[in-house]
Parts: sequence; structure tokens; C-alpha cells
Amino acid sequence: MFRIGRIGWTFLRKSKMLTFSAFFSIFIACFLSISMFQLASNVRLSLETSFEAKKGVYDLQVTKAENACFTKEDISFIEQEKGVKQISTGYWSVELLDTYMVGVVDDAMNKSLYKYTKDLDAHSIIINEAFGRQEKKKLGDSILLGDRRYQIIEVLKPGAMSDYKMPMAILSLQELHELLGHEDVTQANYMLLQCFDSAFQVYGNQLTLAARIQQHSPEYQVMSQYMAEDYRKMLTNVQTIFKVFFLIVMLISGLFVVSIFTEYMRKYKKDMAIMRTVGGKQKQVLQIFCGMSLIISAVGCLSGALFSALVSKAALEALNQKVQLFDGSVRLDWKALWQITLTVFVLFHLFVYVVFRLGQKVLPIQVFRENKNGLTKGKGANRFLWLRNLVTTEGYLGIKLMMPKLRQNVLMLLVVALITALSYTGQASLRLLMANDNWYNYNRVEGKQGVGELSASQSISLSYARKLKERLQPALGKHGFFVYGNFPFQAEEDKTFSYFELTDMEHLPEFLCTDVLEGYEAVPKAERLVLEESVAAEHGYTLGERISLTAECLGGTKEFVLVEIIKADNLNDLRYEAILDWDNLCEEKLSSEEFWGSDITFWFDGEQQVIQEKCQQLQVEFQQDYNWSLYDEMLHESDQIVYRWSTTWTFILAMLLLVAGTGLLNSAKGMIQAKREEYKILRMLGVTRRRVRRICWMQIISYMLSGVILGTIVGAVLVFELWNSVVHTNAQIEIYWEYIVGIVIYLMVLAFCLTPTVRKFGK
Amino acid sequence: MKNMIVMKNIHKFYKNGKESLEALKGISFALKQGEILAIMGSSGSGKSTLLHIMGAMDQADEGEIYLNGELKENYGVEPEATTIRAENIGFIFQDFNLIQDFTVEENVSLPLVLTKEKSKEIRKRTKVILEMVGLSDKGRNPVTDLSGGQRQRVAIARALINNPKILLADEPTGNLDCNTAYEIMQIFLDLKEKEGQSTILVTHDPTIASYADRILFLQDGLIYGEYENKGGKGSVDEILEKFRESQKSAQTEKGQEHV
Repeated sequence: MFRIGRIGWTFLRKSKMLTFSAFFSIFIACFLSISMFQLASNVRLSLETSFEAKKGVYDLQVTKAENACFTKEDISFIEQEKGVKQISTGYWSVELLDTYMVGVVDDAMNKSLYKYTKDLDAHSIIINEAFGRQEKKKLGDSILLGDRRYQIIEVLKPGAMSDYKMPMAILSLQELHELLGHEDVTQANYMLLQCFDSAFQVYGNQLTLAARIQQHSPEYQVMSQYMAEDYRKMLTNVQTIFKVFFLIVMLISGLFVVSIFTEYMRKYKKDMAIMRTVGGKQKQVLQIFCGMSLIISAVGCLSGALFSALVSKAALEALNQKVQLFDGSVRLDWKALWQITLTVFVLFHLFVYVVFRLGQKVLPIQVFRENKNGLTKGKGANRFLWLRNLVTTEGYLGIKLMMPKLRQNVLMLLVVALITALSYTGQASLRLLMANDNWYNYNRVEGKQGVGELSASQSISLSYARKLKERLQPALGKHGFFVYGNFPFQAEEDKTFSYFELTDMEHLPEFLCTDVLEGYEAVPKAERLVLEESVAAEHGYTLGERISLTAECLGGTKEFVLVEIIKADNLNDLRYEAILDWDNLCEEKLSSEEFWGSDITFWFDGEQQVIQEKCQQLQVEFQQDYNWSLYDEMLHESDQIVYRWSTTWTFILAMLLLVAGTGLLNSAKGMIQAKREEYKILRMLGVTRRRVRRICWMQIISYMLSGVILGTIVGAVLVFELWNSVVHTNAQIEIYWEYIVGIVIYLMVLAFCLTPTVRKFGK
Repeated sequence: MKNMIVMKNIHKFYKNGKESLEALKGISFALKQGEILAIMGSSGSGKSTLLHIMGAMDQADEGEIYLNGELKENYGVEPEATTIRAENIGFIFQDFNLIQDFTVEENVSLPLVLTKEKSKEIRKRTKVILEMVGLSDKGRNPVTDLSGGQRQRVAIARALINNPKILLADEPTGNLDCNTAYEIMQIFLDLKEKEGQSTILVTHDPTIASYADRILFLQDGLIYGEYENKGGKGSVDEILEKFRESQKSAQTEKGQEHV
């Protein structure tokens, strides 16, 4: 085996460029793979740390509907539940206008919920910056609340994991109740539970515990930390993206290495056939090539690993400064480093082994059989002479001389094509998806500043909804509105529509894709009717038409004027058949629980700061039942995501291009050197040196560019397919020509390195 | 004297779709121990095809091959063919077919390196063989540094290192000048005299063929004559005449076929 290995080692030594290309490719693949996994590991750690910091030390949070207080029985029940290690309680209130007041049992759980560190006593208060701005107070100041004076012992910083942008103050539980004049100073409207194992590790038990608590009373609302779906989804997405990157790196590098080893096989095919003639077995031939692959893979991977160990930290920190994928400084995961190194080593060795196994069997007769038996007929000669008119005679001859090498090096060209396709396709795809996303977001907020959706587990009365609207009016702004309901329209006859929503028709709900009656303001508010396009079409209604509707909820028959038709839109999940003014409900139905809705959607068009504060208030009031999104924030986030991934992607592709370029240069050099005899014949036939060199250059350039051309075409098809199948917008496809131009310039610079070689020809 | 290899009624066809070409049409002959047998024929007569079949690099479509008196049913079939080549055959090529990246020693010792022979024995044997072919001072040189004649000596040395029972030489002097060719043929003669080496050499050159003990004339896949060298070097004129006769015979037979 050692002797066989030495034969392989000799071949490696003698083919310096090939060997270097293979080594360099594996080295870069290993380095990139390790770097990506280190990056993924740091991102995961950052997310976990951030989540842990946000999560705190409790596992479950329990509240009651309408923020009612827990009774002694409630507390007793939960205390007795198995799995509950510790309980903490608190009371929050917005009774003091525009301030979120919290009274806490001062322990670790509440500290982790609100992110404060100081111990609270009877005369101390903790505030956030919003409160400080509002009351013009800072750390150390004293503040008078009611008839009590408190010392500000801590100011919560923004970004201290605290979500609350609205003014907030924390007192001890007793102090808050006394301040608010409550008799029972121990009552609580939320509970924090610490369970015996962490929420994640004993997920099964926790659900069971959460389910038991929920089952005990429908009034309970249980929130498990493990149910942080956004975090889990984010983590899964990040890991998936890096796995995809890893696969692409391995695919491209693998193709490249396979191409190089195919070149080795071709180069040494005759030598292997000679070995077979002198008694060498096929198995020994395989052992020689495998030995070569083993040596290169081992050296390449070890070098890649050591290089990673030395520079990963600095490289990742530099990259992270640009892309901000994680917080804090880089931590190297040594175990992952060696695991990835081993994986890359095994994978590359496997690729090459499979190629050797599937490749041609080396038979000794193949050494000699250059002339066939005379039975094989070639294709028609001079089939493409017309090409001379397009690309000149030098170009024609260059391409003809290049063709055999093109067939032999199809893998190499596939690599370049793949990189070309991925580089601009990746960018184009990300931008298209972002445009798609932004279009979706825009449609979601119907062109306003933002949207809030309340889907309460408990229904909200119509009067409460009206009060809510009043509270929100400053945030709603001039063009904001909301719709409430999704009630069955119990028409006695001629059911125009099945379900309807209610709103205050003072301002028409301004969706995108609507037709609005000009001068609708002249129509009395209560008579304004909005219908969806399909509903209007079904009944042949047009704008301005008077429509009679008869239903129990209307208290009989009422006349309406169709003032708005909402067009159907693929992106809009909202499907409102009809919208009426809420004053149309008859007296009887106004207070009926039948018209207590659980779905309210708000569109904001006011000032962002105001919107955010109002949303915070609602968040506090409705906990997980309420969510909101602001358009600018969605756009910004979308932008950030695209920027991060496209930068990382560009970095990876640049590295791969570096490797591929080296290999391409090497094979181009081999290609023109292989044609030495042909060039001598051309000189003998009277072709000048200059023309011979031009033929050489045409050969090189057409070889280098064939991969780019193929990649451009494939990439364009991919982008078009993506645009066709996934993108719903009218966003235009952009081809990022700068990437293609960049790759072409890079390859031409490489080609330029062959100038000394080309100069030798024609002499 | 025993027969080293016996070829009986060997046929070889090449097919390409519907077309078929019969390269060997029923060749029969034997190589005696210690004999130099030359096979002479013009281009396309089937010499190389015959040599490849004898060298277990190709398989005959019909016929029998006896090696050391034993019928080998799978003579050209892998993996038996590899064993036959390793243990019985030494092959010398017209264009030397040396491994360019190896030194002289490495090329010569290659057949033994591929076996389980001990390194010490390999080095010893290589030294002896290099001395035999007069290249003992060139062992560490890369083969690319050598002249044509020297390269052919390296090729001969490689063919001899595992003590083959039969040496097959395909136009061994085809790429050499006449002086060098003479030197190479002297080596074959020395091998025959001193080692009793049995050799088949294929050539179209009557001068080279004249060194052989016996010459077979191959035309159009058949043997059309034989010349036996009674002693010393054969007569080139006689060989040429015999060769031309064989050509005429072949043409006559071909003409009769057409009729």
C-alpha cells in the first residue's frame, strides 16, 4: 500500500498546477464551511442569549380575561399543581392615565420580566425612560404620586429587553394597591410560574401543565415561553439558510474537485494502462487515485481548519460589522470546527471515490488503440465554416481547437456557470422576493402607516369597541379606520350577503383597490354601504345605487346607498362581503351579545410615535391576542434581511469564484499547451505568428467565457421562473449586470496571466 | 523443445453496427522455448491485433491459446488476463510507453512494485536488470532526459524484471535509427543466448526480422508463409522475397474471392 501511495504521491508532485488547484479548492471549501457554521453557531447563540434574556427565569405567565384579579381559590389551585416550582404575582394597571403601573412581588421572576435589578421597598419606584421624559424625572429624583413620595432607584434603559415604550413605573405590590386605593393589597392580575424543568426541556409536561390550568377555567389565559414561535422559526430559518449555503459550497467545490480528478485520470490514463500491461490490477489503479485524493483532501482540510482557527474570529467580526447577524463578539466552537473538517474531508473523498469507481475501467488495450479499426466514421467535415464570417477565421479556429477541451472540462464550466447563475440570480431573487414581500406588506396595511389586528379569545361588546375606537382615534389619523365584527346577516329573504362588518362610516374605510362614489359625503352616514366586488356583481349593483336590505339585526328594512366597492385582490386576506355603519343595528341588537365581536382590525394613518404608544397600551390590555405591524418597520426589516443575506451570499460566491478561477486558468493553460503541435502546423502552413497568437487568445477567451454565457442564460431562466411562480407583484425583473460584468472582468484578468504562455507560441 | 505459447485457429472480428471486419482469419502457430520468432507483415495485416491477443490485452473471438502447454480458456478475459500478464508476459512497445513522471529505476521496477515483492529484492533486481541493458549509471535520471535508444532499453528492462516466460515486442526499433536498432536487437540476441528468453517480435522491417530464428509472414489476417533461419543472421534478400511471395499469395486469394 505504501508503494502504491508513493506512486500517487509522485503523480501529485509532478502535476503541480492540478494539485494546487485541487488543494486550494478543498482548502477554501473547508474554510468556508467552517466559517459558515461558526457564523451560524454565533447567530444561534446570539438568538438564544437574547431570547433567554427576554424570557427571564419564569416559564409560564397566567392572566385572566378582562384582566380580572385572581381569587384565593385560583391561587390555591395553581399552587397545588404538580410541576409548579414557584409562583410570583403582580398587578398592572393603566388607571393612572397614560402610564403603565405595575405592582410586583419583588423577586427574581418579576425582575426578569421587567428587567430591573434594584430591590424595591416601600418608598422606591423604578421607571423607564418614557416615563422620565414625560414627568421630567431622572435617576435619584423623587416623584409625588397621589399623596406619596417615591425615590427613583432605577431607570430602565431602552433596549434593556423591555418591550414597553409607553411610560412605565414599577412599585411594590402593596404600594401600588395603596396608591390606587384598593382594599386588598395582595390581589394580583397576573402570575408567573417557574416549573421544575425549563419550559423547553420539559415541553411535554409544561403543555400538560398549561393545558390543565387552561382547562380549570375558560377565563384563564396561559402563555408559555416555549410557545415563542417567532424565536423558534427565526432559529430554524437561520439554520436552514446556512445549511443551504453549506450545500451550495460543497456542490460547487465538489464539482470542481471532481473535475480536477477527472483531469488527473485523463492525464494519467495512459500511465495507468501501462501499469495494467505490466501486471497491475484495476484495484491497484483505483488505490493510486484514491491515495492521491486522500492526500489532497487531508492536507486541504487540515490547512482549511487551521486557517479557520487562526482567522475565523477576525473575519467573522469584520463580516458581522457589515451584516449585523449577531450581537456580541465571535465565539469559536472548536468541536464544530473539527466536526465540519472531518465531514468535508469525508465528503470530498467520497465524491472523488465515486467518480473513480464510475469512471472508465483502465484496460491496457486503451493505451494502444489510437487508430480504430477503420469502421468509425466522423461527422461531416467543415460544418461550421460560416462561423468565420461572424467571429473571423482566428475565432473559428480558436473555437474549433477549444471544442475537445470543452467537452472534457464540462464540469469545470458547469462550476463557472453555476457561480455566475447564482451570483446575479441570488441578488435578483432576493430583490424580487423583497419587492414581493414589500408589496404584500403594502397590501396588508392597505397603504397606511400600519395595521393592528385584535382577535380576542373573549368577545368584545359593541360599546367597548366604540370606546376603543375613541381611544385610538389620535393614532388612527385622518385616513385610518377600523372594522369590527364578522356577524351573520340574518336576512329574512333575498340574502344579499352572508356576513357583514361594522364600522363608523364617518370616514369610509379606505382600502386599496376600491371604487368610491364621488360625493359620498352627501349620503347620510348610516345609509352608507360598502360591498365586495363579487357581491355587487352577483346582484348587479353599481355605485350610487339605492339598495334595500331587510334583516332582524336592522330591525326591519332599511335603505342604503352603495358608496364603495372593494375589489378582490390576491394578496389581501381580508374578505369583507359588506360593511355597514354600526348605528344601523336596532336597539335590541345594540346591547345583545350576538353582536359582541372578537375580530377587530385597525388601520393607522397617524403619527408613528402615537401609533406605537397606543399599540403598546393595547398590547398590555390584550396580551397575545393583539398584534400590530408598522409599514416602515416592515420595510426596514425586509431591507435589513435582504442586505444581510445578500452580503453574506456575495462573500461566499466571491470565495468560490476565486477557487474556480484558479482551476479554469489551469485548465485553459493545459488546453493551449496541448495544442502546441497544431500551432506548429499552422506556422508551417504560412500563418503568421501574430495570427497564431490571436487564435490562441480566441481559444482562451471563448473557453473562459463559455461558462459565464451558460450561467447567464440559466440564471435568467431561473429568475424568470421565480418571478412567474412566486412573485405576485408587478415588480420588474432586474438582471444585476454588474455581477456578470465583474465575473467577466475577473476571468479576463486571469486569462491575461496566460500572456507569457501565448507569447511562446508561434515562435 | 517445448512450446511456450500455441495459438490455434485464432479469429478476431471488429464490429461497428452492421459492418464487420475480420482482422484475424484463423491464425495458428507456436513459439518454442528460447526462440526469437518474428511476425512480419505490411500495415493493416493484423500484426498488432495478434500481438495484443498474445499479450492478454485483447480477447480472441474464436480459437484456442495454450500457455506452457496448458489451454487457457479465459486468456484475454479479466481478471485472469491481468495474472497472465503479470506472471508470463513482458511487453515492449514501439513508442516505449514509459511513465514520464518516473525515473529510470522507477519505470523499470514498476512491475515488481505492483506485486508483494520485498523492497530489498526489488532494488537488487532493478540493479541487475539495468546493468544487463547498460543503463546502470542512469538509474536516477528522469526518462525524459534519455535518448530514444536509452528509453527503449528502459522499456526492455521493465519488460524483463519479472522474468517473463515470453517477451512480446511490437516494432521495438520502429522509432530508432539503424545503429540504435542494431544495439537493441543485440540485446534480444543476448537475452536469447544467455537467458534462453523466448521472444516474439512484430516488425515490417526485413532487416530486423533477419535477427529472428523464424519468421511468419502475415497478410490480411492469415499466415502466408514461413522462413526459417538456418544459422546466424538470416538473409534479408531471401526474407524480402518470401515476403513478396506472401503478398502475392494473399492478393491472388483475394482476387479469387472476388471472382
